[in-house]
Amino acid sequence: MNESVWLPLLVIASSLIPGVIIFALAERRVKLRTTLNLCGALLKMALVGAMLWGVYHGQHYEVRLALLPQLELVLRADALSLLFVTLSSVLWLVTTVYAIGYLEGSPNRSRFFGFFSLCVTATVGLALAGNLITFLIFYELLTLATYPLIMHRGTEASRRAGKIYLRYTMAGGALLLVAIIWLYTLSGTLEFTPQGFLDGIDEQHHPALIIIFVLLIAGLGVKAALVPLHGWLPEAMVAPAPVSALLHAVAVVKAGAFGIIRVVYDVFGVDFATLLGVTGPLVIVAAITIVYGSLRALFQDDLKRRLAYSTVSQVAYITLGVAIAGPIAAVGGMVHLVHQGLMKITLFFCAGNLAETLGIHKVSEMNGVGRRMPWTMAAFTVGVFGMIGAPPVAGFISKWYLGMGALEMDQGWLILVLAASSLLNAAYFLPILYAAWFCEPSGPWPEERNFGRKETAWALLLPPVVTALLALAVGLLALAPFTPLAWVEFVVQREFVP
Amino acid sequence: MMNSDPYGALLWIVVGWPLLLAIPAVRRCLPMADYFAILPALLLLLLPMDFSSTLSWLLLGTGVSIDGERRWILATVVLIWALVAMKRRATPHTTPHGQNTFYLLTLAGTLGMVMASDRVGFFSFATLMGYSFYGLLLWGQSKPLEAVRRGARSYLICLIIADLLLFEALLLSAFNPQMEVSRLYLLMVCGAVVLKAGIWPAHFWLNASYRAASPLSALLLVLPVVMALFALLRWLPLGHVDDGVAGLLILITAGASILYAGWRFVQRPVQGERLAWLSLFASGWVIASVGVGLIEPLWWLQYGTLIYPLIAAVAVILLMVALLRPPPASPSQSGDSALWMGRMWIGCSSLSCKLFAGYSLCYKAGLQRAKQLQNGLERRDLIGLLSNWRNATTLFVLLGIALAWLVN
Repeated sequence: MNESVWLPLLVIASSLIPGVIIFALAERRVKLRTTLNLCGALLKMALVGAMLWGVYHGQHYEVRLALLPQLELVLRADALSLLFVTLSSVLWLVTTVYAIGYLEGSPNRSRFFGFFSLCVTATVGLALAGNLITFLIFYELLTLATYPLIMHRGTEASRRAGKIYLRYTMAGGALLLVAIIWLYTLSGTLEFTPQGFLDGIDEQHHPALIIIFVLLIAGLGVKAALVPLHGWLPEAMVAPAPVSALLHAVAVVKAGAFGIIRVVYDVFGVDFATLLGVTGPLVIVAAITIVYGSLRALFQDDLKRRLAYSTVSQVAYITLGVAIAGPIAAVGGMVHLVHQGLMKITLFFCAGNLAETLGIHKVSEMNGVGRRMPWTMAAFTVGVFGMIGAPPVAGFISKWYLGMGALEMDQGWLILVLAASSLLNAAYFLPILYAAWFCEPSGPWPEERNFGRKETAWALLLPPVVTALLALAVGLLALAPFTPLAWVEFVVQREFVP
Repeated sequence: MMNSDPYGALLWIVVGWPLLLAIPAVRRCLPMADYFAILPALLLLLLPMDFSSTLSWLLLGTGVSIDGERRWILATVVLIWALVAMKRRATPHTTPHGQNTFYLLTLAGTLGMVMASDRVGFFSFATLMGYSFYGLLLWGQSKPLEAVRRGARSYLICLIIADLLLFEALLLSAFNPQMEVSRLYLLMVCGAVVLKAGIWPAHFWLNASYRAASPLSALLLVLPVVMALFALLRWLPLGHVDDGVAGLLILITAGASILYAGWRFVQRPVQGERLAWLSLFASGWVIASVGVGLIEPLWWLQYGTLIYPLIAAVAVILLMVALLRPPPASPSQSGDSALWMGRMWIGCSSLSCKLFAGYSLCYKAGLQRAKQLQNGLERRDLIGLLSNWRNATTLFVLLGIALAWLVN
């Protein structure tokens, strides 16, 4: 076995093995569990760094394991997969630090961190998947690993949310399975190929391919929270803040969006998808999701629910960028995979800090919180401006490329959708900032915990500050080498330059 | 234009230094940070040559530069900030803790706008300046007056819409440079400037802000007006575009602003408002000259450079009036003035009211209706309004998307 084979396996193992060991650990083994978590996360980052370097220099990483006759489990590191793997690895490390602080003293931590590691394993697996069947396996594993995390608190509300989540995602998985089998019968292969593998299929199968596309998008759209398949996401907000961060920024919704990118680019191919006429309706669905999510967010008083609807809207940018089917929009969509992750995880960490430190769960309770927790709210402010698309935060870069891409493909009306989204983002986020920074506290905080002179525990404060700075840096230094934007341009070149 | 490293570094220091000082921990190490913050800008003013610097990796390849025309604006900005700093020092007890951050962020944004050599950079600094200025209007007022809040809220709404318009214009021009001479682009930029500078009919934020402004805020309020007018010059390809219709529209807006401001000025304005009408009146003339420049590009090529000193002069006049402005009166005193100029205007007002009594009645009735609508909107904020009509709003927006797609 050479490096190109074992490196993808090691990347998976770096979270799988610590996860399995953590399951077996007793609750009181806090130090060992923390060490395993952090070492696994750091090791994964180092391995991913090595793969990034290799792929950038033309190295090929692939491992094939026989699964069924004519079906293989394929792990392949290409530029697109590494974009997602890097995002997951970096955010996993940050989320782990946050979760250690967040869950300090709470029960069932071994179970939590075990599933947490499994969840990241599944995410990295589906990112590295070299064909649809491998993707499906890890996609389902992700569902199963996330389900206990949503129900972690064991309350009635969390059990209900877990059931809803399972119902939605299992249905999505079933649609995906049907579509994959059907596709295999038509094409005889499920291997992800740059510019797709379906353009040689006989024209008489085109109606079937359109239905398959719809099934695939519906299956993936559940996790990507496309309207009307988004219902589970706001319900899942009862989960602890690190799980919310995982759902919204690291793993679940991103897995759906990443799947849509794979289907459009590496299964159908952009040109063939456009020829079939399936990208136009996908643009409409994405546009409706963007506006609908923002409109619903306007009416939420619960902070996490407001953020959840914001995710519904923001993740649809990725789908929009892909569906516009042009190189510039593709850059905008794919780079938003990373940018949205950084911004949204910041917002969820901050929401978690407010809940843990002051017992604040509602927007209406946030008056004056900026003076009580200035660092947390400063990070929140950066995230908010990123979401609105104000420069120089990362969101501006995404919107810039999406807008330019829409103009490039003669879809100028989408500029209005982006403008409406920005306006609505401002309408539901800026009142939060106003209340936090410019209003006096309306009374004592709901459940204040004392952290001495610090505003909160360092493990809770550091992650949002780091991710906010990252969101700022990737926007400010957008054109520097080795930024997400530079990497995405490298990916898109592969798709659009034969 | 020189592009040598030490000078380039100075340009970035002019912008970066106030940004650095905006961090409280850094600021604490340096006494009189507000004076020190404008020091590099002052140094830049003293250097006579033009130079530039571009960082290809920053944002989308942003640069900064300075030339003779922009020195006028830079000098104006330095003057404004120096006066503000002196005023703050003179009344230290009125400077609330924490206001410095917004103050220095606004300063950095303003200096960045002056020196940005590309539109993306300009837009970024304008955003920084706009939102920081909003913070500056509100921060530190432990219980902000409703009037202050109203002014700041109106400013924020105008700012958001203006930034959206500028962003769309930026996209259009970046995608196709030919679009810079299109009417859509011209009107989007002009619309944004009208909102940001508080030109009629978007003067309400300026009016409300001045009405509630402290002496310090009255000085600061000159800033967004000057910078918005400057934006117009930076974003419009004046002298290279000939669009009579857009020019006429701008002229009409400017004319309406001048007439409206003049009319309100003679109508016993409350004390703070007088400055708002003066600002509207003066900026109306700048806008009018831009409108003429769009109709007659040759005229602009010949005399266009005079607009920079004109803006500087407008700023100086507004600053002088703001400095001479008496301290804010209690509500019962508002509207009364002992100043001779006020008395003169009151006399003119009553004379003109008699002359145009019929018109005045019609106008007042219209104004009353507009105020009722505005009050209604203010009582129930935007979100409240939308939440009462959530299904209708949702359907309306979805219908809009569907229609836009069908038309496309």
